[in-house]
Amino acid sequence: MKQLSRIGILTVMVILLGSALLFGQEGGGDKAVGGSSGEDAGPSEYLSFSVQAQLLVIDREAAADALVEWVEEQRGYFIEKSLQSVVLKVPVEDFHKLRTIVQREADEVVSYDVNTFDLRQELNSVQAALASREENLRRVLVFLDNTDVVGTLALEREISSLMGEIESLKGRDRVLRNRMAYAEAYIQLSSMGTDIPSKRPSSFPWINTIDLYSFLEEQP
Amino acid sequence: MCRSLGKALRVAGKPVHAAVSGMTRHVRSAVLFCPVAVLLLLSITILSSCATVPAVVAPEGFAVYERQNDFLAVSPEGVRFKVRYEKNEPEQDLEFWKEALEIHMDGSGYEKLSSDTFETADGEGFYFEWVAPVGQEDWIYLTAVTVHEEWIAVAEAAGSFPMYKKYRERLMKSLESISRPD
Repeated sequence: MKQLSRIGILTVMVILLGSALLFGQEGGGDKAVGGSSGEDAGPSEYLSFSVQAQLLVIDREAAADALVEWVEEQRGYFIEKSLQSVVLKVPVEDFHKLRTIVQREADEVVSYDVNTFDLRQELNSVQAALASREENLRRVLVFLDNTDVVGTLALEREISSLMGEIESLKGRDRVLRNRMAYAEAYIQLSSMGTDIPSKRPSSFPWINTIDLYSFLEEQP
Repeated sequence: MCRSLGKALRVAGKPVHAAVSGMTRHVRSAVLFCPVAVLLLLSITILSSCATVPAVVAPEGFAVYERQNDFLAVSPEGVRFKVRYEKNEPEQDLEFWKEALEIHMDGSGYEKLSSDTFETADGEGFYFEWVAPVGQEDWIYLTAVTVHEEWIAVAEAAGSFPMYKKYRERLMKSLESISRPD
């Protein structure tokens, strides 16, 4: 009785998985980059952009609100918003506008660094691994049709393991496609997140006296 | 007595024999044997090796503090501006000190906001503006240098970002007023 119920559960799992694989083949998966699959994408579509910027602003709250409002107007979104920093997800097609917006909202731009990553290799690797796991699963399902109860139980563990790997790879694929579709901008609105400068010895005595905190502690 | 005087003169940077070597034989013997003249020479030597308080025009609206070795002015909001003379040792030019200061500040962890040169009546100087946190605020720390042969003038200014911004133009004008030691 117990074995029969396990076989019943396994059958349901197989049906669900079969339909998921079929759905995947028909092109129902995540296609964040211009609706094309990874293999069809042009070279620039594999690029992921990120920005690290440090600003000085007198009204941090107003600046954070303005940056979030702008990104939402572009159909992007924010991950984090505080008086210290904002983290924005900017649609890649609007990414070139970001610097202008940052300069408009900042009283001073201390730094603005753009990093670009080519995700082609990683995406291809994820897709190859995914295809391989899905093929393995199909084979296991074929065996399942022709096996007895003992064999079915032995295949159960293999199917669960493959399903876990497939879900994990699909998740990674979604993350990579999101990174290609949205540039991530980490914008610091204050220097408080940075390390406090420390005294560092110099060979020149007068240079050793140059330090903001010592200067402020000096009595007039 | 002679040993301590000699030591004092060496400390001042000029040994007795070097100081009197340029004099005529009569003057030299008078100087060497007259205690009053020796003391006079000592005073002149010491005074010539000490820099005075820098002559700087204070930023408008700043209160100037009477100090012995440097010029200090403070705004009502606490923006500070200080100028002092330091010996140009080892004797180097403006470019050298600019690079040395930049490396030091970068290495110490200050974030550079800007850098530029400025003109004084006695020549060119450079300044850096650095950003650093003080409590919950962003502060700007200005460091500037002008070189006058054996002396360099070192200026510092600091204030919270909004206050610094308010006084920045006045601070720049004061930098341009820094002159060589008398």
